[in-house]
Amino acid sequence: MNINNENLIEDLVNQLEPKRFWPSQWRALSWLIVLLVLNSLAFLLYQQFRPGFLNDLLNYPRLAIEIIAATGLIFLIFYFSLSDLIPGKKITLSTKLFFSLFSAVLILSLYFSFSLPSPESSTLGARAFCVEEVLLYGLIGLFSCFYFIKRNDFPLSRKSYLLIGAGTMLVPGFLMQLACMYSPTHGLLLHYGPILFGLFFGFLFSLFNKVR
Amino acid sequence: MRGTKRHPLSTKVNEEIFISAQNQKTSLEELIERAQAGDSSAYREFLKSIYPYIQSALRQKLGSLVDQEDLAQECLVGIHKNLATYQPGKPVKPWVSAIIRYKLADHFRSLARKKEQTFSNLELDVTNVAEEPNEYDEAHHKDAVEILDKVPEKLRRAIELTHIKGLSYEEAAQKEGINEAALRKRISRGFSKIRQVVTKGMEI
Repeated sequence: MNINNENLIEDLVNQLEPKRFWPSQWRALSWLIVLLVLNSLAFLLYQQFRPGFLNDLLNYPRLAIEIIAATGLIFLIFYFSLSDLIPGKKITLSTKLFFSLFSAVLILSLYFSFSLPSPESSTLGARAFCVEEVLLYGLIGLFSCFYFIKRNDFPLSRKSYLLIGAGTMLVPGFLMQLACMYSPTHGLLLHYGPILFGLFFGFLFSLFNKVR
Repeated sequence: MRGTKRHPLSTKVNEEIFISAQNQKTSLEELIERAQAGDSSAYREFLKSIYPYIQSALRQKLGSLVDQEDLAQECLVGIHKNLATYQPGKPVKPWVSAIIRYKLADHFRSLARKKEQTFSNLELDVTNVAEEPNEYDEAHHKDAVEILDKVPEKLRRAIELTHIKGLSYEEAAQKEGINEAALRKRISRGFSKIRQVVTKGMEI
């Protein structure tokens, strides 16, 4: 080992600070909780959630399944992306299967919202700017997540950028299903539609940042 | 194992290598875990022990010794920055290998960018000869002439007519007695040849 390397190692050793490994699942869970709380607060600042939304959740299993699947999917999206920041970390097959399962359940529940018993279509709790709200809160979440990721030395893959874009838009999207008026078409287009913007922004970020 | 007769010494040697590898593996993991807890001496020992592994991984991928040294140092810095991402209890070498892979990819990317830049600068310099002969740097001019000399005559003439003398493609094609498409093809092949020459020169 030459003198330059010895010096470099000494410099690195001098800069050493205790560092604790924080598992991806805990980090993903904390991201999910923080985003859910902040989004809900932002929703409440503007307008109350739809009256009786808790009863709807209990009385209509399809709606409950949709919300559970969306929450699980967001958690797994964050888990995938945060695991991608760990060098050499491999995603297990069971996690991938869960991811596919939650995605399939969410898509099917949205598909069946047109035929299965669902809360009656009404303008109860209608919000004047629901799509704008989803976009605004989603983009704030997306920028915050990318800010944390950018601080990391190990870069993400392009797939993870897209996933984070979709995941951060999905948070206000599924909350809006509980906060805004109920109509399957309205929900699909205006509450879940902005996910496409999330994917687009994720792709844009991947173009301007280092990818693996 | 029936029918194969092994030399008793070879089995013993293999076992020793295996045991020492196992011991090293265990000690590397212990060292990095202690480093995560803030133990400086363990961290120093870990970096020194992992350095030959990084070098040997890079030796397989890189030709230039200078690049190897630089990149090995970048890998050490990468390990330092990612120290918190090592998961205690997991093997350390896949973690280090992933950092090496990323640094290598980054290195090749920047190398490709540099070569591209050198080529476009060269193209710019060649164009400027006709426009600003007085301000043209003598050394660059000499380099460009040397590089152009290595390009086959037909291709070189096509580049000289269009990019140095400033003729339009139509005029240059007429002068060469060929059609415009053929001329464009010659120019493109000429620049590919220049790129090859420059790339070869950089590798040396």
